Amino acid sequence: MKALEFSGVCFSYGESERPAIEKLDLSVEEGEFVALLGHNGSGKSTLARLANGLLTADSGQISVFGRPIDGKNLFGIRRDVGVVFQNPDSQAVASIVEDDVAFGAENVGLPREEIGDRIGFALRAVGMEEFRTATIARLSGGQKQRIAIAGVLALRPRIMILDEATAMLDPRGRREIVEVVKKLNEEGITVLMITHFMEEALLASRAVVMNCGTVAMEGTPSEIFERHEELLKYNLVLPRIGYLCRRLREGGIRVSDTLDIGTLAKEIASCVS
Amino acid sequence: MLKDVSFGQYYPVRSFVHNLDPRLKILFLIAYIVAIFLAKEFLALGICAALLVFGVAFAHIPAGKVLRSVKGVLFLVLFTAAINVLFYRGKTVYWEWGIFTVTFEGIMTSAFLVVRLFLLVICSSLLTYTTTPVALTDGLESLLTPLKWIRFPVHELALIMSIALRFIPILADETDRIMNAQKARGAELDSGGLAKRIRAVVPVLIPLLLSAFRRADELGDAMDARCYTDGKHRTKYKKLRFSWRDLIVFVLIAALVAGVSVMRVYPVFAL
Amino acid sequence: MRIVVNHLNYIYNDRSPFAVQALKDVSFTIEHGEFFGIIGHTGSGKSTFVQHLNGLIRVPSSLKRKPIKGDMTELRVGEFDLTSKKTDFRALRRNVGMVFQYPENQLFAETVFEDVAFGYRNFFDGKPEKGQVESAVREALGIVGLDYETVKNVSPFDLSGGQKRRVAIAGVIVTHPEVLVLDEPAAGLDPLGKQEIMRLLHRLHGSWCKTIVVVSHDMDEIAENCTRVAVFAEGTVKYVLPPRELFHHSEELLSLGLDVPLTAKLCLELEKQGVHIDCDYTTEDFLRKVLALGKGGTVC
Repeated sequence: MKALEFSGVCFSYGESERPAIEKLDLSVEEGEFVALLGHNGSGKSTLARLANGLLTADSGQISVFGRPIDGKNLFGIRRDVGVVFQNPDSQAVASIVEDDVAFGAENVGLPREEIGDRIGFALRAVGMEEFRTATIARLSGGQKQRIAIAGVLALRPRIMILDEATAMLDPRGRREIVEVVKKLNEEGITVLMITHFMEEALLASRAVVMNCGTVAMEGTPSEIFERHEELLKYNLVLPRIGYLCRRLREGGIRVSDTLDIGTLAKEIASCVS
Repeated sequence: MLKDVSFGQYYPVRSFVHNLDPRLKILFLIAYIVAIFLAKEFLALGICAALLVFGVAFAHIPAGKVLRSVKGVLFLVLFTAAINVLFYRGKTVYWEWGIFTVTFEGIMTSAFLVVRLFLLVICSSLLTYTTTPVALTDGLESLLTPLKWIRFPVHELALIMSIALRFIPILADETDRIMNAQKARGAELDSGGLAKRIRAVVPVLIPLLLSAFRRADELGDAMDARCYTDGKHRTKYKKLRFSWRDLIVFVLIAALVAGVSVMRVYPVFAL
Repeated sequence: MRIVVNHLNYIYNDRSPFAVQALKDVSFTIEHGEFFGIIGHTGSGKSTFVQHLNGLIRVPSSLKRKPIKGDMTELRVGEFDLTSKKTDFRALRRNVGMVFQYPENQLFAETVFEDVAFGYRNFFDGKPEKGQVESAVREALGIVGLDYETVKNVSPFDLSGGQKRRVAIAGVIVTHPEVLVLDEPAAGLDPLGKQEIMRLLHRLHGSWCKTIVVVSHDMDEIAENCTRVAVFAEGTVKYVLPPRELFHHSEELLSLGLDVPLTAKLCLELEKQGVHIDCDYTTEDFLRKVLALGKGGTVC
């Protein structure tokens, strides 16, 4: 089943502005892990905001599990489509972890006991159960983002969109988030991960490159990174490992376009010895 | 720097007082203020003071910490007291010079005033030391619930308070960062005349406002994305509950106010 | 300017229950002309350290009077003795530029020109002539890769993220600081934006910012660009080494939870396969050494 489907979607922030999204067609299957790439201003974040009704499309149709978003079903759509944003410091409503994780579940009017269960479930899912009564301000950036993910998970969404959720984190924080997201996907949540880090895109089952508000490239991450000239055209660069593979091949060492360090090392070793 | 202006100044230890219902603590503070201003003689004030000493002891707050809260208002209190001593007109005059008179009654009223103000400050800081900002907000929301009948937006007010409490330290940090960045660019923020200082504030204020607006926008999106609407069908995870501890304190409050009121009508030692 | 640090300690909230020792006996020297890297986790003390370099954090005078374990704290940037109260901190700040994280958040003026000119006017002794300001701003915008005529009257808030950041950097280097300190200058930018910032740093290093100190989490950038690297962990300095030696300790860095460059990871993996590559961990050198092996040559 299609978890998320955009068909012919157009959107611009103002009459005189250049459209941020133009005739966009994109569909995400249930259970997929899609990485969304694109330079700043390519329309990635607008796409995330359209997908759960924070913005309304000017034309075209957006459907979530077959239900078109129509303004009347926003509540239901937002329960299904959770979004985690970029800044770890501006997403929490409350000062204490459990109070913040409870926020969404309180909004949809769940009974008290159920909220308590959901907090437990969400904090376990992000590996933060021992921080239930901690003060959010004292946590690291990665931990804060995990709490933001937990706050979304408490609504038990079926789709999780991460809008550059790792952009402001240090490498350790990024690793934490990537691990959590991978695990959630394995447990069946559909993931759409918007990112600048080419290395993060390697984890996805499919990568989509956006340019000027529309889909420019689509395929498995390794298919995408084989088309490096095209990537450059869209102001993107190869992940470093892709660049190394290419240079090695040019130099006569036959390595495949692998994106895995261990595999590449094995291939080099078998070529040179 | 700015972070040191401790806000809420919650003192994180476990104690009898910490565990009390926040609504009760707020009510206690109000009742206590009423009591110390009703108290007309030293015995009544003494009872109030003794009660507070017990409170502080049960809260496991170090005495130094309590005294520090008094230090902040020390000058103000002493100044008011001095004015009172010099201008109060009483019968038993000790000293007179121009418009200034020092009388027995003046000294007594000033002493009362000083003790009252100190008790007031200590009692309110006892509340903030033993109650997290979140609990305080919850307590206020719960106490104000009757106002919902007159369509007063109690829930929204509580949410605004809780968001403010959450963002004050973040914005304080941000102010620090921006001030440092502008100082590194040669801005002199703490020297020069008034006009110069006001002008020097602009490079800090504008980025700070922009940042606050940006954060508000981001927070709004994050709240919408988590299904926030108007709070009508909202449930609350945390329920405040009365326990036997609360009952004891409630009886104490009642006794205190009643006792002090009785003493006001039938003074034990008339002044 | 040479930067000398000896026995530097710093404690936040000293003498309170919330005291945190952010720097513990930090000692090393940054030579004139270096492109010096600083790495470490958030909270390892690196930000506290760099804020010392232009006096935003002062060495507490009590430390000078009562040195810890008898070792005198020393902190010098060129001729400036930062432990002395008599130091001209204004002159110091003119010579040590500081680019904070997300520097675009400090933009405030109505036009790009006014924002860049802010620092220049502040540090000028007396009142600069119009022509002086104009040529300084033109030069600063030029070196960060923005066209003076196009952007000078534009509001900085109408620019793209990458452009804003370059305007903010121009606003720092407009006074020709000899030392430039940058705290994660490429954070949050897209890959091309990151490349542009690195190119910009090299242009600056080649012109008036003779010594560059850059805090970064991007180990690949560190390996490619830095002359030497200091590794901060829990307030102490673990290593001060050039990248080619530092990443010999890759396993240890990884165990500290730090990242290492891709080339170092590959070298570790190749070692497991019995192939030893001795490179300086730049991409080019790694490729050269591997290709040489592939052609049947030996690696020195």
